[in-house]
Amino acid sequence: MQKELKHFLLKLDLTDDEIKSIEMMAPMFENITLEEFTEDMIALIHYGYPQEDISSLLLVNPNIFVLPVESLTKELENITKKYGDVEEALKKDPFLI
Amino acid sequence: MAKQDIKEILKEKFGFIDKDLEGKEDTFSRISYLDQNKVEEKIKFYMEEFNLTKEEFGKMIVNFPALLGYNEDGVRAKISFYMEEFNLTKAEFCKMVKILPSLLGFDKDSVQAKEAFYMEEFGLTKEEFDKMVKVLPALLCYSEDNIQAKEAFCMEEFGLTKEEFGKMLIKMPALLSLSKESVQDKKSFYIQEFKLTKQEFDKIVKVLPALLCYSEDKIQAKKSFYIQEFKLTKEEFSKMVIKLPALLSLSKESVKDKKSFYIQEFKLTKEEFDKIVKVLPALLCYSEDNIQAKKSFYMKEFKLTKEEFCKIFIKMPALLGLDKESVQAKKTFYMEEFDLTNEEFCKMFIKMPTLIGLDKDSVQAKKTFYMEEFKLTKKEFCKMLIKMPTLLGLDKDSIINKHKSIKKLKIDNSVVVEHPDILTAPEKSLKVRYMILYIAYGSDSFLDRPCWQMTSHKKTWARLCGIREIGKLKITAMDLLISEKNFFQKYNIDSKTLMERYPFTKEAVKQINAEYKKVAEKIDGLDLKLSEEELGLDK
Repeated sequence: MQKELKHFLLKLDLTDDEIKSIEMMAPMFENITLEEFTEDMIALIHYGYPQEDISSLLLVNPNIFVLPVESLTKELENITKKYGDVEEALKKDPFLI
Repeated sequence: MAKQDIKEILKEKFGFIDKDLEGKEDTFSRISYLDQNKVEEKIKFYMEEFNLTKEEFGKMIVNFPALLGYNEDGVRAKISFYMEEFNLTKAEFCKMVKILPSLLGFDKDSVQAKEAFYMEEFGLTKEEFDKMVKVLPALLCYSEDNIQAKEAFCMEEFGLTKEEFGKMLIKMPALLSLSKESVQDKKSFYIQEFKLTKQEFDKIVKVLPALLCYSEDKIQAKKSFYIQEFKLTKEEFSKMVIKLPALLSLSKESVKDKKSFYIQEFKLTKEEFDKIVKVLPALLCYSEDNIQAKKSFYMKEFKLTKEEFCKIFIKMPALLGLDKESVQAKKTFYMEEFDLTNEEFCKMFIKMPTLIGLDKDSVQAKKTFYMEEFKLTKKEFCKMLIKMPTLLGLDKDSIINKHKSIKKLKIDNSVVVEHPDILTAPEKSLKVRYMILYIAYGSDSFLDRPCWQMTSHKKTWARLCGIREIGKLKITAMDLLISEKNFFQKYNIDSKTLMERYPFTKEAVKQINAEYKKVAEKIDGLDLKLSEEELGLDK
């Protein structure tokens, strides 16, 4: 994982072991830049997922954050249409994406 | 006929000028016995036998005028020998002779001796050498000393073993035709152009020795093309080249065609594909037929809709690189190892496609670990896994630490089996999240609520304080965990405002400790206390 991204995740209060888990669950994290990660975060926030809960979502399903922001936006758009509330839907089933 | 006469015939026949035939006087002298008719017969013979145009034969004569001295039967015998010796078609041999007419001048014994030398020196099979000769007939011209000197140079220059050099030679026989200086210059160029270390270049050249033959201009043009086409930085492109040096051998047209194909086949935007290809440049090398076959295979094997497969592909493009048999074997392994139905595994695969990439030993080790750590039966662990396949990706140390916290909170194993997502709760804040909800609920009944750990403690605390201020004496504990949208609708205030009003400070920690103590004492709850250190508030 890129140093800048790891540093950012540590700032989100994740531990080194948790970061290792993320890398094992979603090997594509090796290639994600901090910029790409934050783009995804911003998209989630824009669609109503609370910023303060994003680190927990990351721990449950890190694969969400390996999606290019364009793909994630499409997914969030679909969830909004189908369920209305992105936060509620993703907390109920974090693997919807 | 005097030697000048042969030259005159050739000049007249092929339009040569004196300069073209300079330096070949000895050869012309050796064939000076040929008269004009004979020379014309020879020309006719070669053009017919090797299916040559006049221009092609002219070039061959300039390179190797001795051809005119060989008798027709001898040439036919050589053709048969080469075809048999190297398993060539007549057309293939004609092509080789066009490139290297002197092939017809070698005697059979020396050709066979050279072949034996290459096979022994580089550990080649006969088939491998046959292919190499077809690509570079000049191999039969190099002296053994020269070949061994080139081999020693390349081994030292690229840190290769003899075996590795042999493999490179199979990929690119032309290695033996490059001068030491050109190899060293090309290496310096790549190292500078792609900001590579020497070791990185040595690794790349082992995979794609043809790099040493590309012109610097072409490489720079290819680099500019990729950077523009995929909106890459120079550093990103260098990383892609390290992953897949073959990128430099693809034509611009084929790359553009492949990009369009993926965009259409997987309903991607250009931007999406640009990002995916950065992660897995090998996508540009797969054939369209192969991609479509893989897509159909996954859709059938995992009962996926086209749309579902496209989503999975974006998360794990490497799926296209796996062979069908190994995917099927991995699926069977999971089904047997965890007593899963086909449907259950398909659902798990959708949740975590990377399951297919995990190796069997590590999966079995993880299963044993979970069963021992949590004293689970196989059935219980399988139940957990169906709900949350990502369990197989969690780091052992992280699980051990989380389990310690879970044990301190006296959360029963049955809760973990029912709600395995608790194992993904943030390690640093699991306890505080538990204590705040305990205060609000007046017990640990919230443990039955799925994903309770996914809401930040800073927010639940601010919401708890806010709801109290609003005057709801009887707090609806559930409301601490509802979505922001629903919370705002109900209380007409957002959590951000509440978090600003009730920040999570040292004071808050004191208050949580005091309130928790009161509630816990009433119902004989656990004796828990938060410290500022564990929440990072001491800094």
